[in-house]
Amino acid sequence: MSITSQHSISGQQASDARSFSCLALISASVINWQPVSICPSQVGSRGRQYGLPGSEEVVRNECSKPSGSMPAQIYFSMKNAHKLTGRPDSDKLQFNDPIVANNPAEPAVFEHGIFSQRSVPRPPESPEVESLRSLLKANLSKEKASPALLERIRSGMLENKM
Amino acid sequence: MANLSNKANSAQARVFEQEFFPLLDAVYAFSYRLTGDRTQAEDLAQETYMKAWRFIERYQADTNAKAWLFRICRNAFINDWRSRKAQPRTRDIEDPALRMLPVAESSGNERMGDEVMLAIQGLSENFRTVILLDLEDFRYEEIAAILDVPIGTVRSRLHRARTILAKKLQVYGRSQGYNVQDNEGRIGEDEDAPGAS
Repeated sequence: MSITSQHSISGQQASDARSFSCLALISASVINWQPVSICPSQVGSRGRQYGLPGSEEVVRNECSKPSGSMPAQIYFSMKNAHKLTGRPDSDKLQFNDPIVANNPAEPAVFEHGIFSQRSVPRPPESPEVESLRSLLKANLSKEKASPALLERIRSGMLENKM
Repeated sequence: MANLSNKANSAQARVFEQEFFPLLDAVYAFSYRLTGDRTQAEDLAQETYMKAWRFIERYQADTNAKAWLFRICRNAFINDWRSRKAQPRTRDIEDPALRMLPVAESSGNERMGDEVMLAIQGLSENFRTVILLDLEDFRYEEIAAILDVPIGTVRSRLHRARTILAKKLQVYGRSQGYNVQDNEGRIGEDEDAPGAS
């Protein structure tokens, strides 16, 4: 998919426009029928900033200092990032990727306000709900960790002594 | 320096002894109900405690050890386990293999609890997890923090999961003397419906 936009640009309008998002600019231009400049290198791309695949842009004509009569041509091209960059499939975001799922190594996992408060008993719910909860609790198997597991954890702690 | 390190180690070991190890049964049971396998449950519980040990300095003593450990456990399951381990529990409850899953042991009736266990196993993972945490008496806020979802999502999932369970267990519950009412007709209407996860 390729989109080409041609606009006549005036200097002041172009510099103002760079501080807004592309979408806002396009909307504004439609409403007010003002010529605007779209400069992807100024606006930036979150995906490109973080090097995510699927967000590559090909800018064949970077924004330059506008002159009154020079049109700016910008080509946006949405392409498969892996084909484009030659990166292997293994670079694709996996489920385990910290961007997709919380990584246990990330501090955020352990730093929630609720964990730094003492637990308080929960208030009872409606009789129907409590009855269902009682039924479920009474019928859940009572699992106990084996002493061997406890020993494995203790020895693991010793091996990984800080 | 070595003294400081030893002191820190002993304080952290004390946290483990006094706060974390008493919760090992609960963590193991949760792991077991997530993985559906005793060996995997032991591995997951061990990994949970090893991660807790590694990041112990982020835990404030005498706070919410249980929620903290369950959060680590659930995250370890999501990140490391679910993607690489087979999950017999996601199969349909009619699957004969599920007959081998644990049931409550009763001296008088070995089959007691089958219906309940199968009904829980038949839930989608999202619903099952929220129900298991609810049965651990966590507050909604704690469940939301453990699962890293908004509290509204917890309420919604719990409501739907309970509706499904009440419908499945209505007859059994009454036979056991519980007032289980199936008074909701809206089951599995959203993206969290069973099998969607």
